[in-house]
Amino acid sequence: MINVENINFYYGKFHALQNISMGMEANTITALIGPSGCGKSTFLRLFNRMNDLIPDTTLTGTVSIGGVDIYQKNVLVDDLRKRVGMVFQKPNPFPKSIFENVAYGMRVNGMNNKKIIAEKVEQALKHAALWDEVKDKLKKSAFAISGGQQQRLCIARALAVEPDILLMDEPASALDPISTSKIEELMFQLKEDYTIVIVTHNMQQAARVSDHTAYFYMGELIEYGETKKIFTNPDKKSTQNYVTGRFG
Amino acid sequence: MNDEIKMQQIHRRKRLYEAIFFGLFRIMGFMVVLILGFILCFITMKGIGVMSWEFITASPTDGLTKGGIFPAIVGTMCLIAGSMIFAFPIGVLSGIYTTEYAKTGKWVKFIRLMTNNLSGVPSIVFGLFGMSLFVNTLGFGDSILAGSLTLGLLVLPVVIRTTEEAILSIDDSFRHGSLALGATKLQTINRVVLPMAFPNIITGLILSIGRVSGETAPILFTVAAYFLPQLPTSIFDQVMALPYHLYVIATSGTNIEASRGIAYGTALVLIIIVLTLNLAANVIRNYIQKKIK
Amino acid sequence: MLQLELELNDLKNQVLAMWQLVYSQLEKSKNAYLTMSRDLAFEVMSMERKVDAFELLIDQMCEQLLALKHPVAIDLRFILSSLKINGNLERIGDLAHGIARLVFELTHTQFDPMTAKSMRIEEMFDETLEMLLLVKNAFKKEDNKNVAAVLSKDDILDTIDKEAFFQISSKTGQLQDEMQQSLLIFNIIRKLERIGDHCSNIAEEITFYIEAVVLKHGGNN
Repeated sequence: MINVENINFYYGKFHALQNISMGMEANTITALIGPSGCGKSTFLRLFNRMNDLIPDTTLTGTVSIGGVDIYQKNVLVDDLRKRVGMVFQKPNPFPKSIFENVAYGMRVNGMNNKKIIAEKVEQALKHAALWDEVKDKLKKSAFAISGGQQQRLCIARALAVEPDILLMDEPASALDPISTSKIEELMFQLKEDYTIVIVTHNMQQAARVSDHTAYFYMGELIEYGETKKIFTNPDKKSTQNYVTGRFG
Repeated sequence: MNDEIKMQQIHRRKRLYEAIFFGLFRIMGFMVVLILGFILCFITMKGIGVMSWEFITASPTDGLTKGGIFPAIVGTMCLIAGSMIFAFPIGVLSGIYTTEYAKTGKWVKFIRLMTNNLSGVPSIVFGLFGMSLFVNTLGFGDSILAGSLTLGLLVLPVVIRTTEEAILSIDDSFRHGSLALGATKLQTINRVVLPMAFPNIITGLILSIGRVSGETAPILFTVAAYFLPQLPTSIFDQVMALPYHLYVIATSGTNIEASRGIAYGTALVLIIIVLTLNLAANVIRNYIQKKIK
Repeated sequence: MLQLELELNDLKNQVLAMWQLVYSQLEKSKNAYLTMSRDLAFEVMSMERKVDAFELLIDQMCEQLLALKHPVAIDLRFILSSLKINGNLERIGDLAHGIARLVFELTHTQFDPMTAKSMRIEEMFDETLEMLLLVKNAFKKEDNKNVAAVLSKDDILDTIDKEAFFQISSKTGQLQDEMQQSLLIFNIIRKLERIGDHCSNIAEEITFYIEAVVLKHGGNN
């Protein structure tokens, strides 16, 4: 479903991603792990072209989703970002009501049928396992709920535009353990309808949650395979050193 | 033992310095309040004598020694409105441009430099410029139009700067969140950034209004009339204005002593207008902030 | 239910399925012995591969659970004890298989099970089957109240084993044919005794899992 071939990415002169090729299947969870600065977040941002916002970057190679190169000239970036949603490390709900946060994506896409919006908001909040907790305070500010709930709100907000792919950049690193495990449980349910790629610096989380794991180091893809294998018997010594904590 | 004593001495000294400086800060703070209070009290005491319904609604009579200041009030209101109509949209849009669209590069730095320089130009120079361009070259004559444009130019840098600050203070994470949902840059600005920046932009508005109401030099050659009891009917008309009226009465009126009371009354009205407008803008800002929360 | 709970349940179900298989292997060998049926013995021998396959599968499941889910407390004890129980069940299955082979050999002699009745072989079979069932239910219901019963049954088996030893070794002047039969029967008894030991081990593992108490080798108290 997602495919990259011979990707090289530069921040100015810095060679951030070196010759990476890999593919991800639909309805799987892929974890990207590796030490700080290894390029995993940069790699994640390729898929919704958020790197475009950073000046002076260069990309060579192909990134395709569903067989289509998303960096082609005629690709509309806003369209792409509806199909590829993103959840950020620190919860960033808008200073609007809970309802309006979830409805935002629909509104910017031109939808204004009140009934449909209300239905989809409810659906998205249910998908994000947040509906029961907020259903009687939809008009309250998004800042009136806890951090873990805010993050699930951001997930609902991303789901409301009905993407195919969900990118998660360390979604639980700013949260307490209980919120973290709620979000991990959520991911198992979401897997049925979405393809998920998650960046995490928490190896145990990658092990718990993902089907495939990609280990990055200094911009290179060292190893990519089934999570089962990576955590029981990885091919490369470097990978083993990292997952056993002997790294560095 | 010696070490302990030294430590204690150092601690005591630190605490003394703190007490001194905080005391100073407190005094400074109070002084500001005192000064403002003094000005208000002084003007109020001196000017309250002439305050009456007639003062506010009637025109000046008897060579500006008696009557009211209604035309000047109207004139000042017109100029506030006119200059805001000019400065506010241009200033805000310009601020949005430099912060959201043309973020980096020599061009933006140049624009910022020019904006800052503009705010340093003396107001009388603005007046002269306004007279030269609007009154003479463009042929508007002494008019509300010329005066508004000149005053607008005067406060333009203020509006631009406060807009820039307001927008820059909004964390990128909100922009990223919006863009990641498929919103365009324009939608992000309209639906997320501007609403959040609005309260601070209104602050810029408040500052500008205060400035515009009280400036005398820019309106000297462009719109202010010495004595014009009729209310303006078009933007090409001249008008009286409160600050100029105050100046005129206090310095070159026909009978300075007699009209001194009116001068203080004018000052009082001017202050009241500015404070009222400030208050209104603050109320609006707080209301909007509450809605956001 | 949590994802982890789902996977622990899968593991439990596999262990129980293996248990079922091993129980039926033992039961069949009992019936093979009592009826001297070559067919039944052969059935047991051909199912042995399936028992081994179960062991490999459960080992792999435990490894993955430990590597990927980092279980703690009761979950960790559950997986560790499942791992050990897995090993014990495989041994029991192997022993049942061994019994079936011995029966198979017996069927080539003129052996009549009625003549060995005094050695209480049928009783041994019944005891071991019941022990296997008791620990299976203890595992399934997470209830170790019958552990003591299992451990005391093991004592019975030990007794029968010792008595059989004396009985057989005191039979002097046997014909070669009878000697062979005796040895085969003794082997069967030994295997049944070891099945009993393995069931006791399983009982101890279950106590570890449920109460975090170590019973074996005198325990950790």
